[in-house]
Amino acid sequence: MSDDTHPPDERARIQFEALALIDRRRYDQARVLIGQGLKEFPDDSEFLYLGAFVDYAQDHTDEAFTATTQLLARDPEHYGGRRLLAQLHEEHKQYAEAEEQWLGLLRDHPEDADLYGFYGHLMLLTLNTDKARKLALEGLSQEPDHSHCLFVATLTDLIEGRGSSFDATNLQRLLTEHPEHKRTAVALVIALNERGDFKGALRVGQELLRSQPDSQEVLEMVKALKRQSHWSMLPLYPMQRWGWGGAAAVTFGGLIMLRALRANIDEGTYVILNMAWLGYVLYSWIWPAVLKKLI
Amino acid sequence: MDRTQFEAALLTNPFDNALRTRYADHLLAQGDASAALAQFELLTRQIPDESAPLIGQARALLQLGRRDDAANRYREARRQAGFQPDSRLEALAAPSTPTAGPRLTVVTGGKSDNVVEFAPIARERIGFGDIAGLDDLKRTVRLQIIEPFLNPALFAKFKKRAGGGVMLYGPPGCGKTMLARAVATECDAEFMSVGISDVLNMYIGESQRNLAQFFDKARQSRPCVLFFDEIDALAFARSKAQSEHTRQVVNELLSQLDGFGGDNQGVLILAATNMPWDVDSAMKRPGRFSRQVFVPPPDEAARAYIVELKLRGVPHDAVDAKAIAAVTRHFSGADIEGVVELAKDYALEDHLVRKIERNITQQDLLRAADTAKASTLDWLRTARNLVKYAGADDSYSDVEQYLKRHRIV
Amino acid sequence: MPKNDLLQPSLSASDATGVSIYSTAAGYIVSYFGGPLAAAIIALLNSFHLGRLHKDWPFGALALLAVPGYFKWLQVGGGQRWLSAVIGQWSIPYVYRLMGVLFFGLAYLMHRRYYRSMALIGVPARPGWIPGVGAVMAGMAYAFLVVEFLINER
Repeated sequence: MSDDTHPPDERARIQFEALALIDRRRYDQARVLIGQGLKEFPDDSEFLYLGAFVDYAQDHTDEAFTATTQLLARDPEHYGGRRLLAQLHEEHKQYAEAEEQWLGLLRDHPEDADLYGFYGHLMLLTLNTDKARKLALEGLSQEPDHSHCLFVATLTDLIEGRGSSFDATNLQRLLTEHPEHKRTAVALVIALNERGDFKGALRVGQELLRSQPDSQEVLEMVKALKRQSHWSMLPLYPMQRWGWGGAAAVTFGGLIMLRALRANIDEGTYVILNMAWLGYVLYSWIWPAVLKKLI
Repeated sequence: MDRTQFEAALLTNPFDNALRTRYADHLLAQGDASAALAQFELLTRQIPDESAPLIGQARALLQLGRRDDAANRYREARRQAGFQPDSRLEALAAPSTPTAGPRLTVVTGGKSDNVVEFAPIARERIGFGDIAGLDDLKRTVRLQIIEPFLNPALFAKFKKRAGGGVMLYGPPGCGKTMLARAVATECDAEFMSVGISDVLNMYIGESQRNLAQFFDKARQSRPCVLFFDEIDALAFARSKAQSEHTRQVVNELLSQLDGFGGDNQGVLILAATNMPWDVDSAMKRPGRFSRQVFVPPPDEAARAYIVELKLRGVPHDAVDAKAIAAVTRHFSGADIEGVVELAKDYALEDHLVRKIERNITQQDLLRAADTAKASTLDWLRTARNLVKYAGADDSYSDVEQYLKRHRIV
Repeated sequence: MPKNDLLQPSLSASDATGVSIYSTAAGYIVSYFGGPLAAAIIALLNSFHLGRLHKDWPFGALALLAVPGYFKWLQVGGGQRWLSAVIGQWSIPYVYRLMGVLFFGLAYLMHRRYYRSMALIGVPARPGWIPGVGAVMAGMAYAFLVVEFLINER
């Protein structure tokens, strides 16, 4: 069908409406429009890209991959297509391929803070913390309040043990500049957790779940936080707060204390204390697993 | 497949509607709109309750240059099952294009795209009497929505807050739109429905202007029920939105609800959504959509009524609708319609394949119900996440009660 | 312009599907039951996966030396007598376990950034059962051999 049969801005209208629907996560409606756009303007790469994006957003990654490959075969420099391909590689855990895409994009668009955020995130996923931090800082030098770069920088702060205080600059900037962003909530949950404020972390997690109750990822996070702040986990606070260091301290501290008490208490009390300590150790092993089944 | 192959295939299987639809689409794509129109008309006769053949007719008519006929067919399609909007035809047959009554046209900048046309939707009036079951909900709606609208003085005397809009929320296909229309009838008010496609416009400021015009029109037609279908699309949470346009539309809607564009007295603003969590939190503040009403899946009485309604005029043996209702727990109205459609397929299959002429039986309906799944379950599970894990506030208390009553939590 | 080193690839084909190490739980349990050498084996396997074995290998050498050092101190250096006098005879096997856990503590410090990255980013740990059991057995066998052939010989 030739373009002459359409009003001059028909293509732009369909694209605008499809984008508006995608922004509102109305993917099914967007899909109808994109299908119509593809039918009427089969040579337009943008419709192919939007279709691939909707597939990606709806977790149809194989379809998205096919469409993106098709798009890039037609238009190898398509910015959105290249970004989507990198994200799809990440989704498939093809990290080296994803890195290749991000690097290619960064060489072509060195001023794009978004790309530093995404590439930095990939570096975090692959435990290259130093590089992730450098990338985030480079992105922030391009765009000082960029949420994704601030998020990556905050996470690297937390990994290095710098971010659990709230005057930590990156977290503070994230909270100030993007208070309602999902990434801010996630960073805040991690920071509160690091401080041992489990209830606070749960409150923030619940707030996030209220706005995204259909997100499995957020749901699992809140479940974990709920388990962690459950009253029955209070006796296990040292393990929760200090991890395996806490577990070691409790194990060896308990042993030493029991042995030290032995000389000063009668045999019966000693046996009871021994049993209680053993019970506590068993509780610390079994109860978290049981609670996981319950919550 | 090319045209000859389609025709050969249809000769051997003339009742294959899916094949005929593809053939008609093929003809349309080839530019033979007249032949396509004939095929779509044939399909309309074979499956009169479906919207797709009517949309096909509208597209063919549009290609033939018969714009008015195309718009009429498209409006007919809107009333049929499985309706999927087609943006070109939406533009042609704006939902508010009057079939009767006043019409306002605003032309800006001489662009035909910027023409906003609207008017009350002229459809058959539905009252509470037409909605079976859901007595609790009807009582709530009467007390919380209709009476404050009809007797504002009484509510003022008791210092009971009655202003602002009401948001209906619940799983898809459970009759929120129908309820809104019934509210309009019960209030003896004009009913005006606005959806996202009525508002979106790519020119800067035009979407906001469209929205303002809907409010203006509703104020001129008071008493009027201004209904925002799928409000989550228009009032999408700004914190989740990427585009400035989305935020601007929300801002405009907020200021219209606050009455900056004019006094909303006499305009009952209703909204419906399947995803209340996607609605901007500012929308739920007093004076806006501070009252939220949960519309649950139809109860047993309502389900039985829907079964009976959908079987009306269709050849069927004696059917125990209550038994069908009993096995379709949590089914939405649309799901039950699907069950009846599937039962029709079973009967038709015997007609066409086994050459056995028979009516729809109870067995067909039970078999169809067994095959089908309640589409509301996903929504209910999400609501369960909210209630059980998110420490949700009072706004979801009626959902919580429903989930507890049905042992979903 | 970004610095050139940022635009160099960091992932090779071998870690294309992601880098991760054994969990802290695996490290702790293996060290507790297997002693310092087991702790070092798990730590060095982690170093291998992280591509930093060339930097971390002295940790393995330290564990290899620590085990005979500890037993020698117990038997020859008067350690056993000292422990019995100060804490009690019962403490001797636990001190070995404590030493294993201390080695895990050192390994944790060495790989702290990676452990924390995994915990905070949600990167799943490597499945550690088989290397864990292997490391415990190797640690126990080494301790046995040290006691049999190095300490008891004398």
